[in-house]
Amino acid sequence: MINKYINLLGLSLLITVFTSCGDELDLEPPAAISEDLALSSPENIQAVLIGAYDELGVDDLFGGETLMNSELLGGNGEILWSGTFNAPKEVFNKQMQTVNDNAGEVWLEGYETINITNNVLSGLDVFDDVEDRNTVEGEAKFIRAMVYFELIRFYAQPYEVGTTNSQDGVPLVLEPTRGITDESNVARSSVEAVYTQIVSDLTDAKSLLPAVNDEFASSSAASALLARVYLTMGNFASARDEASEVIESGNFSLNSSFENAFNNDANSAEDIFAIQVTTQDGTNALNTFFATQRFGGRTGGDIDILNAHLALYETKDTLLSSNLVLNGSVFELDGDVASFITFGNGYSLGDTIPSGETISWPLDDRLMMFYGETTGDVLTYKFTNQFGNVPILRLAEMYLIRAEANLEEGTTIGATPLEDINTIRDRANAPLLASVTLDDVYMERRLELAFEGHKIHDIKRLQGSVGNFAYNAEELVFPIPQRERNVNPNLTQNAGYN
Amino acid sequence: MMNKLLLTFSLWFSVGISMLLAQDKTITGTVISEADNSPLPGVSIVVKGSTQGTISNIDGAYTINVPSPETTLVFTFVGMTPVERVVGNQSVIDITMTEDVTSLSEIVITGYGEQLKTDLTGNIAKISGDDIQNMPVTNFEETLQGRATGVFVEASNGKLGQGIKMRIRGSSSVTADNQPLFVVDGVPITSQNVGDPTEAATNPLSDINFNDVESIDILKDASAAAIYGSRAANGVVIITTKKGVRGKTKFNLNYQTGVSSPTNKREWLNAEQYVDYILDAAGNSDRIDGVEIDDPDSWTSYAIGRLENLSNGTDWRNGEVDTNWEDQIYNDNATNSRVDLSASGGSDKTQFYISGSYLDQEGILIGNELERISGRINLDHQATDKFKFGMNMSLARTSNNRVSDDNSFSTPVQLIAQAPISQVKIDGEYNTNTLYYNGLIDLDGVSRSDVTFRNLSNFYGAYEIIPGLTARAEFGIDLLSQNQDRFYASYTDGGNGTNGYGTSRWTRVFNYNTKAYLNYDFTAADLHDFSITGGMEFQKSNTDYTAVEAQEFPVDDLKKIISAADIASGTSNLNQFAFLSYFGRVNYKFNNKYLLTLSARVDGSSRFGQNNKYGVFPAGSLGWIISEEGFLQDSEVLSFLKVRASYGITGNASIGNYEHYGLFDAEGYNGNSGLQPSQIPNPDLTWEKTAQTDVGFDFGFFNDRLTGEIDYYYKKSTDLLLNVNVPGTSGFRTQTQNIGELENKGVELVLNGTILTGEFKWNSSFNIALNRNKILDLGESDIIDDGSSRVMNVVKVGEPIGVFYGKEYAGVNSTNGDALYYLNTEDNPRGTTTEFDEAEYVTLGSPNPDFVGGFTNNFAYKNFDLNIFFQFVNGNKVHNVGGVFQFAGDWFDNQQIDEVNRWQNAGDVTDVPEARLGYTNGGYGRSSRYLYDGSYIRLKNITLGYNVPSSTLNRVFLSSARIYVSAVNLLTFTDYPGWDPEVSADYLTTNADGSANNVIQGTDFYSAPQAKTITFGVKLGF
Repeated sequence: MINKYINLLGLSLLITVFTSCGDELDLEPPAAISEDLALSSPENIQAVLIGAYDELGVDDLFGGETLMNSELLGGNGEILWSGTFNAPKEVFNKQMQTVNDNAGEVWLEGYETINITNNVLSGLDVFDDVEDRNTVEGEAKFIRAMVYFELIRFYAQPYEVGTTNSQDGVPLVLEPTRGITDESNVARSSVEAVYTQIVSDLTDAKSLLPAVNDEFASSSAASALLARVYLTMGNFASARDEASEVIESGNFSLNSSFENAFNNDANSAEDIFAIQVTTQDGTNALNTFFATQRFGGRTGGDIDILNAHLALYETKDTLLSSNLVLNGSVFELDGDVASFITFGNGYSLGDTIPSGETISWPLDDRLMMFYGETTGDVLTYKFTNQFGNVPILRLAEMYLIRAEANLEEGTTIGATPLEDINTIRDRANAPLLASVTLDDVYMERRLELAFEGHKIHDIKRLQGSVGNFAYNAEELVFPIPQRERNVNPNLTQNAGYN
Repeated sequence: MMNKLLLTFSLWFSVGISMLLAQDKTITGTVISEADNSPLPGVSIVVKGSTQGTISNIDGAYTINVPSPETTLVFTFVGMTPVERVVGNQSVIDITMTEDVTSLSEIVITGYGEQLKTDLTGNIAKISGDDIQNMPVTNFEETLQGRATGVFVEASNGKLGQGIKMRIRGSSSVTADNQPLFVVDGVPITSQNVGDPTEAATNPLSDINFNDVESIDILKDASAAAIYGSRAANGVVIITTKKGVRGKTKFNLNYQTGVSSPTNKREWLNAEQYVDYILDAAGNSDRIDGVEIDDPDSWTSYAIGRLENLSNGTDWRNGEVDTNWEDQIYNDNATNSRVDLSASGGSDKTQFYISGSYLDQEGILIGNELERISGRINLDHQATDKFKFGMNMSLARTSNNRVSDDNSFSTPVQLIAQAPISQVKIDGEYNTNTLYYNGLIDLDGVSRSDVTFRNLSNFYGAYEIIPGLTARAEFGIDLLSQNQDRFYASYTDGGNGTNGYGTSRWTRVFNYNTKAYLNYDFTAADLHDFSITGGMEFQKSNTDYTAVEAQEFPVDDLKKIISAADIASGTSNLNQFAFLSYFGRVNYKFNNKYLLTLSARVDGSSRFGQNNKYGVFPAGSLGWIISEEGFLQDSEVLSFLKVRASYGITGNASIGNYEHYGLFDAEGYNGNSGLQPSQIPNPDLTWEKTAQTDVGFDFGFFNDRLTGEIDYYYKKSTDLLLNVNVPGTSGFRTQTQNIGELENKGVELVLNGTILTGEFKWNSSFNIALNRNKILDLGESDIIDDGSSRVMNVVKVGEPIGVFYGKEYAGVNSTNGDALYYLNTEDNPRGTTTEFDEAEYVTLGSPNPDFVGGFTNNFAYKNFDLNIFFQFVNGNKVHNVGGVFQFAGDWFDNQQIDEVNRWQNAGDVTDVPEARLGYTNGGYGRSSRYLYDGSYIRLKNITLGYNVPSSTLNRVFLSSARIYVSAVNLLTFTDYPGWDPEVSADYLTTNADGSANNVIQGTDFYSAPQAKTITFGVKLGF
């Protein structure tokens, strides 16, 4: 009797356990949605656009590393890579391998961003509200152009004014990826074609975007980026006009002090476009590599600023009439002594400089944007807020572009070049100039925009050199990532790599 | 579904066999063990040629009716040599059974059943729990190293409780997990890393108290493993815990304690050599730049500034401070101790095994300690003649104080990079002005605590429907709850930008499993032995985690996140998978000579696309016991010979849980929520299949004094679950596709010998396994190169997985000290270049060993016994990824001693290039310069024991007492110049999502050496 019960019990147990299981094999991911759903409504497409900004701001891209790569590649004598990472070290030494991680990530993250913008642009038909649609389209095109401009300048020989620019550029992908097929193996377009696309996207963006758009791309941001692109293309008149338009828009103004242009949690008055970093999201990679660990960077700071750079700023010899104790109270910037004293004069924090000694005294606030560590290393103050925004387009650059372009064109649209340069110098409390040449403008860019990612691009644009490497040297072009060439047979490698 | 089930059941019921036998004579007797003359309960006594039999009781006594004086009684007991006796005219037959030293009579666990090893047609390696008892290691897998042929175990470094690589017959997958399936008492357990994916992998198997283990059965070929279907391609490890046996209650108390130290230390530049090196390197760079060394902008001036700074005001020119930083990283007297107490026994109806264990082990690295408390109850109860039920239940708490991963400045081993002219402490405080962060500060300032609670339970009921036919239902749970707490004080590297930093991560894995199956054993017409198994199984695993990250702590004494002013992030997620399976197996033996096994499993999994949810995994095998044939039966030499062959298909389903969907993930920007495409859909995604052929011989010579097995296998894996690199221009990096093929083929040999018997006993066991892994196809591309500038393991068609792919170092130009690389171009392969970029990439060697094995010898004389166990690995290469810092001659990191052999003057013949500060001269990671032979032979374990004679014991109420001294990793023989050739840098062995990386192997990056441990112990029975 009991046995029968147990039999029956066992049997029914088995049946109940197993009949309900089939459905259990359909388990949906709890933290992701399908492609169809993601592009199904205006709200969702706007969310995908936010995703594009997020990707644009990853550490390998405009979170800072692409800017740092420019500084390292163009760095020669003014900075020193002292970190342990091999990839940036190879960039700095102009000895990149085809597997270089920095060169690989800019490419991969860049095209991830481009694909997101292509997804956004593919879904515009769901919008009923034209204004919303235009804004979304404009932002997506702005982001796409910004990434292509970065890619074309790193992975291809520079744009040569007055030529057909038929040299290999980068692959142009303008449609979203829906699957991997043979058509995914896109070949490189010419440099000319990529620039044409960039100008087209930015021109569209400028006309579609509102004048003001919170922390997102505005029509001014599109103009500002266009100014930079035109400058690179040697189209000075257009560069001048776009820069002037941004300045004249009245939506931006230079901060009262140079220091205030940096380490901001929210965009400052002179930020035309900046990557937003918060404790919740984003990484300020310029902080990671340019700052020391006490500011959230890597131990010791990976990029030391050398004397040769500090010597570019104007100083005057000053005879000390009393003992000067370097106790951190002289130039108060977050409680640290401006390090040109500790470094340029051979003293360290805590030392006393005796009365009667002659020391260099800064005549430019921008020289106060450095600090010395107890190791004797000097670092820049520009990126000491671990969760600060990464400035991408500052108003100061627009003045510099307008000055350069006016000089080139022999015009004074908006203001004279001297006025524009002195606007910049005045804000930095640097001695004003009486006259200005193109070389003065180039120098002003080096001082004002130091470490903000312009270095190698200015050298290439102005056909300068990095040490023994000419502006168009093979070593100054990134290799097409090895992993890409392994999977895409249509990709050619840049000269100098195999 | 239901109809099918009922059909199956009725089928089973309809097959019935009964036998009637005459019974006319009664025999009684007692069975005792030769070893200690104690009664043996549970011995099976069967009338030969029938199913009639009985079992000895607690006192070893038995009673059986026999039909005639010609009857033969067969006495069998696990681990004892079977005894046969003709009844004759006796009415009392007392039997003394001797321990069986040969392996052929073993019973092996086959998954949903068990089988006599003699009858096995598949390949299963068995390891007795006795062999691994008390090894002073924290991870279960480490105890298996070298013990079973074809099973390769490699610890990533000398840290406690971390991930371990285990490969059975090679790597069968490129992307999916290559670890075997682990089954504990019938429950497929969680064995993958479940901890924070940004940290080094944790090891869920370190929660297992292996002193509770009765046996480990490793299912290697398809015939043995296919019953586990889609998860069997990497083999299956079945762990069976101890059970009580009826008889007097036995208590066992074991205590052991010991010390650990590193297996090896290295030699670095001392202060004088270091200063010499730096100034040399700086001067050389000045020469290259054309700068005078006394120029304030010269490298030399810069170097002197750094040396001044690093020496903190001491006289670095004269070696005032000469620190050997490597001395700082070890806990040279790392102690360990463990206590086990167990009780086992039972009545005719109820048997139990209850144990408790405490283990405390300090790591050889400072600050590393693992503590485990565990308990177990195993109960079996015979409720009626036909119904039996029971449970196995264990609870463990494992607490691991960890150190940071190999790639962190704060990990102890990275201290060796510090300058020898820097002090360890200044004014009693740890020196904060060192080249890199002084990781010793973490000793007080950082806590990295992992606490895991683990409950492994299994409940079963078994009902004997008719004799031989048993229905069994099981319900198993593996509950893992892990808390990872981190705190970095405001003065440490991790906490100094934010006034302290803390994280807390809770992970709970609820993995449950139900199954029901029938076993039917019967003999037809005295010649046909059948054992049939069939059933169903369901498993589901839910992994929940929540994690929070906070900063701004008011004081460093307040370490919990409640004290933090700023919660930087918080997250939670759920991860699930499920399997629904049907399985069946037939074992058939004809005339005790001819063997056949057929099995199949149908598996459905949530991990696969709608188009391919279910897969079928069949296997079959044949065996022929040749020694049972007439022409061999009387052989004096050959006592046993069996040939067996198997073929079958197994699967691998160990990938992420949702990889077949097309997805958009949530990604925010500046407080706005957003979406990003994260995955391209693949509705066809399905298992990867491994077809395996195995041919083997089992043999016994000289009355089984020498036994052994030899196997050849060929495994071909197709439809590889491959994380295929796709063009980055698509916006994606990889897609999981079923593309590609690889093979493993190999030979395995086991030899067991009873060399001496009698007063001085000596037995020996040797095993060796050769495996050759080769990638056959990767789809469009012929290489997957996810290497970096440092790491050079790739997947390449025609080469073994993880092959080192880089440039070939050609030594040094003796005229100018330049490092040279072979061009390896087609027209000038032996030409050399100083330009690294000009040289071609070539394959430089494999991280996979050519052969691995073990050799163990047991000696016993009177009350003494000695076990000597060697383990070896041969033919693999190890890449010192840290070489670019330790031996590149281009920066301030202290260099290994070989740097003194650097090129300095024209004509110097050396393979160490000229040192150049800030310039790379031979310091590229992806070259053969830092690649070494990783072969080694290790005295893995040596144990000397003394068993106190029973005459002495009786006076102190003990039934047994043993004292022993044991050493693990006492000696290592290797040419590897690093710390230890058994290595895989922990931060490289996992992918970004925490899953195991199969490709990057044989890498050394500041990885701690293995521990050499000597322990002393006593074991008492009463």
